[in-house]
Amino acid sequence: MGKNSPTQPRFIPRRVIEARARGEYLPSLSTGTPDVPGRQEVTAFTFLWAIVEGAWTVVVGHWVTFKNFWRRKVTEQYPYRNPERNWKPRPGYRGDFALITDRRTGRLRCTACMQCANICPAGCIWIVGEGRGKDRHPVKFSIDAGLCMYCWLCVETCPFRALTMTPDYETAAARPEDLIRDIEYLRTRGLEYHEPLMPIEESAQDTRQHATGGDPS
Amino acid sequence: MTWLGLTPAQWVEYAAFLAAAGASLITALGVLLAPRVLHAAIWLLFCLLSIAALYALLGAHVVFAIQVLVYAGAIAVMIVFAVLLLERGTGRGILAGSQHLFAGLVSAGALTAVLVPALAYTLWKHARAAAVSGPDTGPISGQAAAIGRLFLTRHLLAFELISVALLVAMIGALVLARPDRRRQEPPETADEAEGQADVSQWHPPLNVGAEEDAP
Amino acid sequence: MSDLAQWLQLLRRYADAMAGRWHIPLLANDFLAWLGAGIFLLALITIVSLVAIYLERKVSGYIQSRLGPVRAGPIGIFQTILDALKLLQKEDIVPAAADWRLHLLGPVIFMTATLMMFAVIPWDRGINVARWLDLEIGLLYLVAVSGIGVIGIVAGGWGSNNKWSLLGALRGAAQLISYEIPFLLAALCVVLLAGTLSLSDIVERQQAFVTEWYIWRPILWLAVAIFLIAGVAEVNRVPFDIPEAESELVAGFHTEYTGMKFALYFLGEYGHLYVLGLLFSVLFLGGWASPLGGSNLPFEGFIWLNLKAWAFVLAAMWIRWTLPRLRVDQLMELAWKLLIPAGFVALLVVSVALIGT
Repeated sequence: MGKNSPTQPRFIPRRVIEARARGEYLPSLSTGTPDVPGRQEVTAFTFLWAIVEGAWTVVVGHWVTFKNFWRRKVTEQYPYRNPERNWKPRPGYRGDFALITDRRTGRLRCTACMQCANICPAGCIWIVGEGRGKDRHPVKFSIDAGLCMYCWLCVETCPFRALTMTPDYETAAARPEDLIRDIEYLRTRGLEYHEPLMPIEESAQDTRQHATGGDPS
Repeated sequence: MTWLGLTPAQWVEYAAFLAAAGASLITALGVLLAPRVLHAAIWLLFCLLSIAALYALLGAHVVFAIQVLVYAGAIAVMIVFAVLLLERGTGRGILAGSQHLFAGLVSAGALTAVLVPALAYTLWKHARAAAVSGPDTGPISGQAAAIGRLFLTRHLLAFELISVALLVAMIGALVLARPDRRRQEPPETADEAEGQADVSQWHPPLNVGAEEDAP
Repeated sequence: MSDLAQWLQLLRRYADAMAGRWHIPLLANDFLAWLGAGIFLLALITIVSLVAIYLERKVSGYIQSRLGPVRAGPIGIFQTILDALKLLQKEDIVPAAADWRLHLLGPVIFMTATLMMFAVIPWDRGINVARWLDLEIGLLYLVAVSGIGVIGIVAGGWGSNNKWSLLGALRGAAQLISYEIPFLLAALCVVLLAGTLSLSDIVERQQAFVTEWYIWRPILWLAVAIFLIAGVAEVNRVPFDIPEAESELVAGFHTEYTGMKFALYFLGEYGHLYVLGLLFSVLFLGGWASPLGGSNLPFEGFIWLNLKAWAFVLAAMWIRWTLPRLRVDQLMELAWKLLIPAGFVALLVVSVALIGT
């Protein structure tokens, strides 16, 4: 958070605050900018100048919108235009779910420790585990995407970094029961990932860079 | 082509007159009988509009437009506006109707006593004029210019007097609506009292403005 | 006599012949002609509103770097027609505690006022909706009738029995009464210059050549500015849309309206905008006069008048999607402390300029 970031309250000089306390600021129509310190006498000149200034800002505003009218539009008519294009959401997007397979053992990392199912606020994770110790693994692992609120808590809490959310967004289904992701589905999805995707702070950072790096026009 | 001695244009005129006159009577009754003031005001609007229609039928276009502009467009709206403010201000609907039956009867009677002779005189005079020189159909074009010329020549004094009266009414409304500056509200809190006593004592929070003083 | 007049005359002659064949009395024939004029106006307002709403959505989209409606038909041109069909099918809901008579009366009065304003617009040389409507006091009539629309807003807002609606109605009444004054003062400058209140005569004064248009007279520029500002305020559009300020009052006076009643408010609003465009082109842009000199195109005056009016409508949309909404007190301040004095100044300027002539 920098010194001049927009979340900080706007800096107001002390002399301005004191002048305001003395009631030395007049309505905007009568004077120029309100943050100029000192008493503003309403003369014929300041009154007329405020009108001229206001009219000029209106003209400038209309010039801005006029230019914008002719600019290239940013609307992406997915999926009707360019369906072959590789549409990628911004980093940090949470769409689908996946269980990550360990590359060395070829088995799911998940140990059915139930931590994700316990922390889930929506209670949409359902796990049946089998085996003891190192052999512990899930037999059934279902996530109901219709109940999920996409809060990322399960991914964050997983001690084995076995669960992740993926940026796939075409997850719609015609029936609610089709939204339940079973273990086979999750395993297949997870084959693309070695590690869970970025947590939210890092992806937010990335989004900022993304937003400032490329000009949409 | 006539029917019962009247041409189609005359029939249209008569039908329009009957419609407008009937509407003005019915809406006037509505003003009197509506239980709520706002309904009465809306009835009044329609009454004024149907009277404007009568003016239009007489060919008095300027009077028609002024009637619509001033009475229907401004006065009726002001009445409705005032009723809206009052009804919501007091929290209950205002019922129309008068408790002053005697005063109402007297004023209505006085108005009738003035209007009926005036109307009768005008009718009589015009009937005589018509008997002498045929029906007076008056000019349809050039009315606005003629009225304007009359305002600035023959009726100049009355015109100016009316404008002065309107100015007085406007200033009076301003005086009534102006908040009383002489009466000081008692300070509600100690801070406020202190502020009123000496404004220079007022101090801003210490953290605000610190950045300005820093090098 | 222009083509439009000839065409109308032909139509009239045809109607007379039909009346003779079917033994319809002449009076009924007249009535039919008026009915035809009314239906023409209603159809015109409907079509104009549909086009205007479509344009509004397109313009707003383009200004905000979006595309606007694209899905219904090519570049979305059927969007507003489908919206209108949807509105037709909608249930007509009247709130339980509402005053249903005023609730019904509001949109009707609003729409009627807009409809009546079209009566005196000269569509071409000597062409009004009806010949006898080419009033000598056309401008006065138009302004007078536009004032009735306020009652529609107030009745609808009060009849809805909803605090947002009522606040919107109160604001609307205050705003429309206030802005009528600078509006009239600006129009009065043109009247002074033209020496007549008749709209067709005002056009006749400007029709000789493009340079005769009143917008090229520097003494009228102040009046043009006032007319634009007050005109946009008269039709309750942003930046003066406080009667229906979405961020404060839900939807203002038409919060409780659905279906066709809501559509009537909509039609009335866009019809009012269009008639203001027509009035602006009549007062300042030479009305039906062609800037290219006369030609023999059919409906030439009608087309030129419409082009000019649509330019005004597009300008109003441009303003709407550029400027933020004013606060209520700022709005009143603008009208009473700035526009009305400026209107008197404009009137004075024109009067002084006219002394020598």
